[in-house]
Amino acid sequence: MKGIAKEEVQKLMEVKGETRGVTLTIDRDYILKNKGEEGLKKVEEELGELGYPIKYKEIETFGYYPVGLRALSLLAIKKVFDFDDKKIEEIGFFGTRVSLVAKFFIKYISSVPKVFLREGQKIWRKHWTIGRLVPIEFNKEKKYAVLQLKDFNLHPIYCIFLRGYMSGLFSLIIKSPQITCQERKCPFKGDEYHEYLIKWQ
Amino acid sequence: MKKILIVEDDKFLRELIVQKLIKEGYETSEAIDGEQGIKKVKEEKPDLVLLDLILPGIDGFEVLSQKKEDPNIAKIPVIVLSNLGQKEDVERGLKLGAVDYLIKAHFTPGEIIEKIKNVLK
Amino acid sequence: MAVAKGKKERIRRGEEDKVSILLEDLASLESYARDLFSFLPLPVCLISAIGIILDANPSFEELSGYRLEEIIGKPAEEVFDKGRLGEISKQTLEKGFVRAEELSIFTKNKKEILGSASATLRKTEEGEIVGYFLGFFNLAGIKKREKELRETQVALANILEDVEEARAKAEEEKNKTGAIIINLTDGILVFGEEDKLSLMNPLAEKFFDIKARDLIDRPISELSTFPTLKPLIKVLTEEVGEIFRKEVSLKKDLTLEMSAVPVLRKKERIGNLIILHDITREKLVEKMKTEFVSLAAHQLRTPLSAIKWTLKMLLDGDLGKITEEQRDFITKTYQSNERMITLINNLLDITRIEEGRYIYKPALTEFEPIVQFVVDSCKGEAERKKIKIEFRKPKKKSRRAMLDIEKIRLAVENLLDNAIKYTQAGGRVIVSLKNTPKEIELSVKDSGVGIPKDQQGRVFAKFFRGANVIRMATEGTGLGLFITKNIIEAHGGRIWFESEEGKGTTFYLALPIKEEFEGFLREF
Repeated sequence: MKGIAKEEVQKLMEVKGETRGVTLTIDRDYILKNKGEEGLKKVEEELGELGYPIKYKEIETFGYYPVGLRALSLLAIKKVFDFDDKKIEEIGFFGTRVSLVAKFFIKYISSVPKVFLREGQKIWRKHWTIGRLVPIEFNKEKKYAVLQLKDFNLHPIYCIFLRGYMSGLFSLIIKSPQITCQERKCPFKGDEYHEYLIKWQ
Repeated sequence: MKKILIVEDDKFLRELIVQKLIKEGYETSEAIDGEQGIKKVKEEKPDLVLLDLILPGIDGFEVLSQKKEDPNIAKIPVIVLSNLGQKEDVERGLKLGAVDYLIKAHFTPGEIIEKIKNVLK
Repeated sequence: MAVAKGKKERIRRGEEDKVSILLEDLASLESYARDLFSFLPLPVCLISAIGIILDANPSFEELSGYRLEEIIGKPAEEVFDKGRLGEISKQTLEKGFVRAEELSIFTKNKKEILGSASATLRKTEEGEIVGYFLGFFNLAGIKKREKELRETQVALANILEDVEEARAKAEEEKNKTGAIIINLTDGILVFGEEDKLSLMNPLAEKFFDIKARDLIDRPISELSTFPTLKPLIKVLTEEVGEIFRKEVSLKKDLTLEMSAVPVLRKKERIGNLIILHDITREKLVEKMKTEFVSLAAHQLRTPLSAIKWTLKMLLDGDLGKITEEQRDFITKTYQSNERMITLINNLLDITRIEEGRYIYKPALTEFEPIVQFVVDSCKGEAERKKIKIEFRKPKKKSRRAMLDIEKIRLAVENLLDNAIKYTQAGGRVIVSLKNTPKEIELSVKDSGVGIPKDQQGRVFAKFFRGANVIRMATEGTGLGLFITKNIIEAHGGRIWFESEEGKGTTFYLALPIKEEFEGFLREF
């Protein structure tokens, strides 16, 4: 698989903003669970080669780290294990299960899906210092919700991750055998912002 | 002459035996009940007593008993002449001092005389 | 300007310090919370208000068989018993908690585990319901033990039922026995431990004119102080050996037949049972019989004696001379009269005819003392007749046999009586005992008149008397040997004799010693 270009790395690391350690621990937990210690080591090695060695076990959940690192972690994982988009989405979904921050939110939001609309932005701000998550619509009868993510252009890989994450979140607050999330709009495709459509049954 | 006292309440039998005794040469004395019997033994001290057991008043056993207690007359021989034949009666009679016990119905007068002769020998 | 910059710098650094401290604290908190949650041995899960499992601890993962990422987001009703869970969540939402409600969980392997669930409602500060924590207490072990306990209970109940049944039966038996004892037509006394009276039935009370309750639990020694009981106690304490059908005279009109039987439990003697049979009537009948016999004898014999004597005197010529023809008639009359006298004797003895046929109760006894007793009791009569009696005993120890003492004594007495009776004055009677391997042999040898040869065959027959002795003896029914033979043969023994007329007779009897007797009985 082709390596990640140095320029790409440079560009990523120049993106202004910080992310909470929890976004990285999601990756850590996923790799540990599915690829074990060895797998994690490999990712750490890859990151080292890219010039940004991180020790996942030393990541503080509530600490602040450069946003670029978040994307880099995903990219390294993708390269090391040759993950496809589906897998990345899976990591996103998994994240909702293990993220402590998500757990904090769920206790507030799960009771009333509508609250999500109100509180949805908070989730974003807990994780990122850049960008705004804007709940647009929550249609109980038609069984869909629309969310927009503005002022956030990290890396397409993260869009895939987010799809999974959103499905995961919604699966915790809505009883449905299947929940899907698709990105209707994306700045990497020329749109102004990200727009996500979540559908359930 | 030897004196025989006969203690027997039946008149006919008494008379018969007395008759026989006299014929044999004995002197006789008669008592018709137990009381008279013991009285006569004491008074007359015969040489032998023929004693019936069933008697009016005191019976023959009682007579034997009283006789035994009186040292004056205790030694006088008594032949019991009775129709009581049960073993117990015989034993009792002999125990009370009778020298012999004859059942009237089993002995003829002659046989009785023989017995008397033997005792007085 | 530099000062201001420095101040800003200091402030910034101060802020940075605070932040790092805060971060440290958060990390510690995170760690603590995780420890608490992770190491909780009780399976706990967080279920949202709409019934989705939001979180679960490692214990829950273990119990359910699902991994964390599998269980989070799963509707709780897919994991728990839907109906029960509905009830629990309803109650929790209403009351705020439930405690120890039965709930089943279905593991990933489709196994049902029964448990006890407790739940607590979780609300936000604003009072909005988040969901509820559900703790699941695995009752599998307890349920198993419960089941075992139930089974044990059932088994116990069954046993109790059986025991109750057995007890009821025993009670019934006891009541039956009690009823029997109370209504028994014999008096019963039971002595238990330490010879204390433990039971007395109503008839026994009547016999002794005393109430059982006054006597219960008193020892025998105390009972002898009660006047009516004295005769009974005397027998109980003095009698050596087994008491069997012993006659005890209580009052003038009450005679009892007493038997004592040991009460055994597992071969150990735990008491004595005294049975008292009222034989007053039997005794009375016996007495009446005896009296009747005596009376009949006397009454019948008296006139017959008179006739006999008169006829004899006639024949003897004491009443005058008689012709030959008269002699003839009178002789015949005399003979008829004699027959009458004999008949009366026979009739009177018919009552004794069965005597000796059956032996009441054999007991292991020495034979020699019985013979000695008889010899001693006949000494008087023998002396009177000037007959010498000799008793020759064997050198060896006296043997024992199963004997009815009374009856055997009677038999020996009969032989010795006969010997004395049919021996003239100055004669001799030798009584000898001999031990043979299997028997004890007694011989009574007299120097008497003997038995005529032509009559020897009929010696043991009923009413037989030798022609030569009828005149001799004071009394003779002809039943003596018949009865004696009965007695000896009933004991399994033998009786025989040797005789020569004019020389003497020897009678022999042989009795089997114990072992042989049992054999004889077995053959019976």
